[in-house]
Amino acid sequence: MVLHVDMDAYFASVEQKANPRLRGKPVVVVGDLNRRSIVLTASYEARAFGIKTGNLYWEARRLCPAVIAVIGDPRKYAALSARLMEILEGFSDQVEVVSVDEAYLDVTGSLRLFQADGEKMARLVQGRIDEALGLPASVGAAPNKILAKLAAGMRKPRGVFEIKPAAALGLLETLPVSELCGIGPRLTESLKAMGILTCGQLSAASLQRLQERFGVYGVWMRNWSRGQDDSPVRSSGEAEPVKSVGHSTTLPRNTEDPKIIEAFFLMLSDKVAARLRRGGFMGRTITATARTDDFKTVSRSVTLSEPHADGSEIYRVAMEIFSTRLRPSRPVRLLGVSVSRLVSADGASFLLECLEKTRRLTGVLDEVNAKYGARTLRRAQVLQAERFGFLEPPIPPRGEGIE
Amino acid sequence: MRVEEIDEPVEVGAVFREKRLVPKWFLWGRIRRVVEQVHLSWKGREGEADLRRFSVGSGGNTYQLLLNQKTLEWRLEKVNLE
Repeated sequence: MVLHVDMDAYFASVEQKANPRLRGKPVVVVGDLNRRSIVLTASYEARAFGIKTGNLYWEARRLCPAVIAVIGDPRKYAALSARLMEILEGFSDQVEVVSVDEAYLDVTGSLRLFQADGEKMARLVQGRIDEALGLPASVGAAPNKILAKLAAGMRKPRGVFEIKPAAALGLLETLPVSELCGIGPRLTESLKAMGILTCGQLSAASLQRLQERFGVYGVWMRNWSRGQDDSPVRSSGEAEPVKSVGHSTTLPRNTEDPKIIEAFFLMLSDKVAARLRRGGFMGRTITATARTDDFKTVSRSVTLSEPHADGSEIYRVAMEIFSTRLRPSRPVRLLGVSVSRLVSADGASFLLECLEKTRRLTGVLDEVNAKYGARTLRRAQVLQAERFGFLEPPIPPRGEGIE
Repeated sequence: MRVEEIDEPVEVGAVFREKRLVPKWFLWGRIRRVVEQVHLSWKGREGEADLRRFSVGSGGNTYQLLLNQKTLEWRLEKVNLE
């Protein structure tokens, strides 16, 4: 038996819990009060006006002039998320954290202990979350992850729903394919072009046709449409190894100013490098991403002969990619840097003295920032990005804000 | 509704109850404000310092208090004013 726990309008619920004056009111959580800031979460009261995650702030105000904007506090959400996961670990030792506000639990071995079936177990979990955190959650129960996630979304907010095996096919027959986790807007359009709109139709579709079009993913999708999913609930110790480390940021204003773009790439490169070093990794492939003001996103990569975890080198390569291969002809609204083809950095040292010096210097920088706080020491050029303003991504890396 | 960033040191009276630290009053601007309710509390970290934050209600407003567990200093970080 698998449970899927999904906190309801999480960021907004946390802010409403922290400030009673926000309760019952349309609230959106944003990165800042800039007009182009994105709505990270909307409370259910705001959703009643049609406001959704991903709306621009000015769009939300147009839909509901009385909407209250709260600037997000990622550390608060991370701290409460850590407590949430501790609560869930009281019900099962197999808890797979999906995001800051979602997790799967395999409770097969716990049902007898709690003398519960799926629905009762889901209610116990929901009740414990409410008691401990005072935050609303929806919980789905089902034989596997794909159905448990579907169940959690059935009766939001504060919903509990169990999909029993015998009922699964009937429920899936007319369900739009877009309702399945793993089938996003692009796949939905591609399936639509094949005349497949519902899970029933996907289930009946030719396996060969799906494989030709989507490869192994076509097989998975057809299995999901039949309520089949044998992927296990992976607890944190079994998590798949990190394959890449990256950061991106939406700029407060579109820009073509090369100095601003350089400052942001340097900031992002240093952040990526710091995370690599914290994780004990180095990487060979550096990817730079740019999204222009017409929302077109392009990424290009370069693979180096040696792995690196040095911000300067990552920055150098990212800028080279940007200026020679991305070369946007329009103002930029988002920039990103990521490093992949990771290897362990254990015992790494460099023969070239200048590289070894850099490695020792960045080690000192990491120590100072670890002791006194992130960005205590940073490059002067990054100040340009800070003055221009940046929208901090909402989710800090796991490990911060632990209760 | 507006948020004012304060970031000032404050004097706080707190009790330890049921294994929890609960602020009961704080002195800000010569006015002693009674904490009517603790709405939310959460832990954090900045460098090596363990931090604890409290969102508390007093006199119709909501205040965010910060305790640095290393220095034992309390600060008023911000206030949500109606």
